[in-house]
Amino acid sequence: MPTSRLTALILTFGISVAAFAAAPEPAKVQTLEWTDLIPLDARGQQSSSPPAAAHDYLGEAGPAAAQQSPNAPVNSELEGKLVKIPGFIVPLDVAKDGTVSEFFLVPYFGACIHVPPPPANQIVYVTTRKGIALDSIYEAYWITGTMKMQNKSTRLGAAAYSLSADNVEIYKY
Amino acid sequence: MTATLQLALRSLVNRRATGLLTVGAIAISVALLLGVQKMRSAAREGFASTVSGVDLIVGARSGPLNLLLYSVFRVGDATANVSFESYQLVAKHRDVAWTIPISLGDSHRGFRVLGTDDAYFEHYRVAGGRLLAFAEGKRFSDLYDVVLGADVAEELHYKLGHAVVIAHGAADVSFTQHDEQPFRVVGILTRTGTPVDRTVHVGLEAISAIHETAAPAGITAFMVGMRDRTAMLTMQRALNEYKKEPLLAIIPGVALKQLWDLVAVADRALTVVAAFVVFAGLLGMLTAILVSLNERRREMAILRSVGARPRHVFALLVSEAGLLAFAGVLAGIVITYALLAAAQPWLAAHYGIFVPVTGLNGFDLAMLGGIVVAALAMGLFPAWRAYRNTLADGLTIRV
Amino acid sequence: MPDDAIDLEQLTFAWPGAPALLRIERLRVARGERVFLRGPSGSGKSTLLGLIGGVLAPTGGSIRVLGQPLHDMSASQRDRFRGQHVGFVFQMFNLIPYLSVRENVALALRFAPQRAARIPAGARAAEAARLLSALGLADPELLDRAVTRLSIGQQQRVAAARALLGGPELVVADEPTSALDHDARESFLRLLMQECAAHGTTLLYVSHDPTLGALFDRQYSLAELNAA
Repeated sequence: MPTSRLTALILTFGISVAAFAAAPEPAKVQTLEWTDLIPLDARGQQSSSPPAAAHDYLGEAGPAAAQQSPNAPVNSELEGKLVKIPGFIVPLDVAKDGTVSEFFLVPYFGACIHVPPPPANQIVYVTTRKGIALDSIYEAYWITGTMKMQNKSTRLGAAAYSLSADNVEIYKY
Repeated sequence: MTATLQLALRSLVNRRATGLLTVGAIAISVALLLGVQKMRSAAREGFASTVSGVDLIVGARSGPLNLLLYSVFRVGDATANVSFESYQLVAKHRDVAWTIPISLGDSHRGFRVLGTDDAYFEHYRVAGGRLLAFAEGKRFSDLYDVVLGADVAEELHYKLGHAVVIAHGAADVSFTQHDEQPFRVVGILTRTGTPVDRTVHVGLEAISAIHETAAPAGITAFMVGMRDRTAMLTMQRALNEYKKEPLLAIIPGVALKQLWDLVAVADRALTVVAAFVVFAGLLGMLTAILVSLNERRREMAILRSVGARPRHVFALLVSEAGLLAFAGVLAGIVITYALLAAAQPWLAAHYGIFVPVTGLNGFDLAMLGGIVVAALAMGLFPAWRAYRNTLADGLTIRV
Repeated sequence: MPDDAIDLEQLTFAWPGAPALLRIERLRVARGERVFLRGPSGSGKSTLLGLIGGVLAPTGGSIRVLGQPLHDMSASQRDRFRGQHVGFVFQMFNLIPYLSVRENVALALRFAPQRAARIPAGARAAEAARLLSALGLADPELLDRAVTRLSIGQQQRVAAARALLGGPELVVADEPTSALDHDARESFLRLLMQECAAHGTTLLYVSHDPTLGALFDRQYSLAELNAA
């Protein structure tokens, strides 16, 4: 085999191997629990279960309880990670076609209406491309997306985390 | 090509009677199809613009469409009232920017009477986000002040200062008149193209004055504007789950969508029927042309003798079909707009819907173009027949 | 050698699946000649005229019209040729009912741009009027009349005017006068021949009325020509 031909063959082979080795691996999704959102050193002090106190959004018996700890500490290790987290939806707006694509994801049902809103580090502000139908928002959902340490403040409370959802699935028990 | 078109035109004019019938059939079917499209889009636009700027509408628990219809369109009746306590609970809530209470149930010479307060004039928006404006006069300040919608003033020939008697109950004529409490017109609103035009407005306290009760028993419904939309859905859910009183809170846009979904099936069926009618019209055209073919074989032979090629004969017939369809479509457009213009005031009077007469949008034009193309395609069949005939006939008639 | 107006050689024609209808060994018509062809209907004369006009194609042999080999030309070329160089007059129903007299005559130029080019655009209407006048229809009111309101004789003259407009080299007339009485026939024929002579137009006239034959340069009988 002539030398130039051999050189070309070796080069092609070498480049292919290098390209294959350098190719990024498919990203791994990290399944989270709500306690993961509380930084390690604060975990003992903060509970992630629903508050026992009853809450009345309409405030018949005086003004409703405001959100406790809107400035709760965040777990910076989660920044930019692709995560999957289950939770309940508190809708923040509804589109013309009757779907919700902007909401708070919270660890327990009835947050903000019957039970006070959770601390800020137990709320994720989620946006989705494809909206969820209004009558389906009372289910539990798995939300997958890239987590960001970005605050979102609304009249219902503040969220310490934000996420743009790549996938939304109904949670099966 | 223009030679062929000219010939086609002369040929059609010669057979005017059949031609006009064909054009008429196509025109009517096009008017039907176009009319359905226009009514649908106009009705939706009209409905949507009537509820702009309102985040929630709250009433006693009934159906969402029912609440929408009686609160905004003043059509139908409420099943029960909303207590004043519940209303105040929401009106004073920290997430609520404003509320407009409304009380319905009375009438004046066939027009609905609406009890409300200043918030109505400060926050209620109509088409294009406009607030209500006064053509004459001002808002009510005294107990017996009345503000009229534009149509009420025009049809009843009321002016400022006119005395008005308001009856209890919503019949055209009521026998429980309250002559001791004549109301006075202090304001007349400009035309809005919404049910506001056909409403007689009084203050909330005036309603209880009419019914001779001490304090207001309640209101029919109220509209809510939130400080921002993030708490809107939570407020809606809280009201729907309110244990002390059966309430219903709706988001107008969402409720309207439900209304459209309900009629979507009927709407689609109507469009399909209209399309079939157009097809029938085109078939009539096809029949007319086919029937004329036989008596025109001599005509084709003459054209051939002066050097027309078979494709000229083909083009002649396809052009005739195209011209008929084009004329039919144009006539159909004229009919549609004439009917729309005529129906507009009737719809406003009986249903409180203002149907704006809009131009032809891209979809309409595409649809009409499609009809002409379909006609040309149908014209291919007799054109083909004629083509074959001329080839076979040569210069002699074959009868 | 100048082209003959018509030159048929070993011409055969049969409809598909039928026996031969026409078999003509030789037929020549010189340019400018006035030829009378005697043949009753059904003898194949319509087919022969169709072949000469280029509407039909022969199954064998050759047809040359004005030197052009029609047997070698495509249907589209033959149609174009006919429009440019041949004028036709039929026995009846020559005119398109929804066009006026003027428009019917003008049809001659509508599908034949070369023929139209022989007359400058502004002069066409005048030429049509002149032809009608030469054929005995001088009344200008006639020009815009609906053709359905003309007598048979008048209609035939309009057809003749159309056949002559633009100066085609060959005019083929298929029994144009059978619906007219004898005197009307002669007068029509004389006017037609006058106009043809003035422009050197070849005239092929088919009829079953033998009394007219004397007016022509030559006479043929289709029955004698046709060997089929």
